[in-house]
Amino acid sequence: MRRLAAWFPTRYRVTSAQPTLRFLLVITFSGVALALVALLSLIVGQISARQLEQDARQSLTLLAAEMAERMAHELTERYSEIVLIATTDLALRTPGLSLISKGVVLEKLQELHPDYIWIGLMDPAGTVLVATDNQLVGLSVADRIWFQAGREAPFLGDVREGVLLAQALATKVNRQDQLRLVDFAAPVVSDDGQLLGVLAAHLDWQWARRLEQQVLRPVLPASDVEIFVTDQAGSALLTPADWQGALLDPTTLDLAQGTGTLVDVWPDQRRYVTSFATISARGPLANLQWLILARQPLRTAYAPAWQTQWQIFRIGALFAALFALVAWWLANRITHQLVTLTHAAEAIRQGQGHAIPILAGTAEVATLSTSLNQLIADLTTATESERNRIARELHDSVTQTLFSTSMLADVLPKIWESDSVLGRTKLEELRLAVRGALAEMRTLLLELRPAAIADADLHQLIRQLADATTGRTGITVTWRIEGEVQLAPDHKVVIYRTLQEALNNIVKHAEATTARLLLRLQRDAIALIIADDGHGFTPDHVTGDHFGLRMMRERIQASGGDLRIESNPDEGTILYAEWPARR
Amino acid sequence: MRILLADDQSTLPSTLRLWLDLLPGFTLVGVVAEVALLAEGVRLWHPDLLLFDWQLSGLVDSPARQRLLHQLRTIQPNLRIVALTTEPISGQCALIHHVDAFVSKSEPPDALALVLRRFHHVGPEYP
Repeated sequence: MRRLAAWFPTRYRVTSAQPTLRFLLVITFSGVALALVALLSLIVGQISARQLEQDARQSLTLLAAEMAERMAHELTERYSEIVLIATTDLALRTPGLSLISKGVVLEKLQELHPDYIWIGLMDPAGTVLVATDNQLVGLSVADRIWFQAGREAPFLGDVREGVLLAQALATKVNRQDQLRLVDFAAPVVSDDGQLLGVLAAHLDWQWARRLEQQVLRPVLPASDVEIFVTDQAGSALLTPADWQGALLDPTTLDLAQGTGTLVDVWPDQRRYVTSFATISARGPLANLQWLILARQPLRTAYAPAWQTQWQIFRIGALFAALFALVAWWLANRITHQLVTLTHAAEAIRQGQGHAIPILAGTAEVATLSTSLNQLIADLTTATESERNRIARELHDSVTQTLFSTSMLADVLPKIWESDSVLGRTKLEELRLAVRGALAEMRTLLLELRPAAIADADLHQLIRQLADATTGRTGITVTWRIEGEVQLAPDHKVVIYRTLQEALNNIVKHAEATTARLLLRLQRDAIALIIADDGHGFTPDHVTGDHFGLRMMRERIQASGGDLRIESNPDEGTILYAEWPARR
Repeated sequence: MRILLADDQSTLPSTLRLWLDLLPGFTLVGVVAEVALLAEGVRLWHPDLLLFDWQLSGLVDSPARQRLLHQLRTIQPNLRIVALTTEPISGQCALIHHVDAFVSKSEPPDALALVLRRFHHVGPEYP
């Protein structure tokens, strides 16, 4: 996201590495919308593709079945027609009738069904007696299978190449493709059962092309649906015009089912939805083992799905763009008040403002602005309190001492002139006071930065407290540290605070002239002893509102130590603070 | 001029005494380090002028200070009160409390001398 944000103008970023909330909201909203649209279009596309594949399977199956049905139906009709004419037509069954009359029957039949390319009547020996367009008349067809079969019983032959007829019809049939024929033949028998001849007809295979066109007519040309007719060995009988290539291996089909459909790769390496149907092998069609294949490229079958998917995506992208605009507007509205608060807070940080504006746009923003305002007010109050405290400390310590020492410095030359012994005494007082003021200053600096107490040297800390007390009050403070044990920082702070509070108590309440401090650092225990020669007190009479003493005791106990006080009126006071050694 | 010092800083009285020795006409007659003893000190020493530490220990709040000063004026009607303070804001408060003058401890002692001399020449305000 940071990399992405780096491409946008800096006004959409807080810093060079941080995008603004508004930018994040807009990118997130529009990104999510676009992703949802893409996902939706993908899902719809997939669902549509599956549905379309099912539809393609069904429609191709219907096409193949219809083609098979029509072929079977028409072949059966033609077969029945030839048989009917052969067995019932008087002109053909009357031996004495002229050949012209017989030829009229044949011509009418061809006129009725132009797909018959040749119809002829043979005598029992196989010589063509009469035929349409007088083709092959006088020639012998005795060796033809269809004639031989037709002498015995009605016959429907498989599709075959018509070489002889092609030569004979060369002038009539002017075609580039190979002439293929389907043979029909039936015996013409007299009422007494004598064979009079054989009626035969050759159905031009273009008939199958016509059926194919009829079947495909309702199908849109753009659908790329194609129909193939093969024998069950896989040899092509009927292919689309101008088609070149190899057929699907029929062994991949479950022909026993009669019809079926599959999605498979054809030899041209393209995927097709392929359906198949077989000619019903019953009655006169028993010899035929034709397989009808109807195929459609998968890409074409899925095309509407991809088109729908793309349309959904385009419309969705448009909506995503609109959504991004709405998100932009919404983000502006949401972040406007936050930006106001941010600028106000930043102004305060830079010292150019004093308060956070109270905003009432939404409950959250109102709460936030009020809380921030209160927080800043509290911080300001705390800062002022701290400043006041430090100012008071300054008054109680350094300023008082400096006021006194300044006065002393004024009079010292005169004193020295009149009484040098008193002058020396006062000079020593001055030295101690200045030293104490310095110690007070260092102590105050520590108060400004309490963490420094933990880092400071304990000797220095105690010296500082002692000097400051002496300088400010004139009380003589002596101190000593016995032993050397490294103290934990928090333990050092507790000892410092205890000493500080104890000396404050001596100054405020004891009216002492001397104080002695002993810090004993031993491996098994730490002890701090503070003694003064003041007027003492009765510890049992100390009330609970003696805040300093109570705080001192609580601080010591919280650090694992204990505080004991020994004091009696006019006998001074001794404080024992002890801690067990820390492991 | 008799001066009473009300200040809890222990080293100040002896220094002030020596310092006042250099100012003709002034005598430090007494020192009080606690609020509770101040009225008694005024009764005892009858000072002409009170040097009053504005942050004297024992003063809980401003009204308490106001009551104390009123009490002192009742005891000694011609008493002049000079407040010793460290903060300008406290000086303004001193005026509000009807003290006669205030001197900042942050200033050199000359400022105090100036104020004392002024009162010495003028004499008692409440004869």
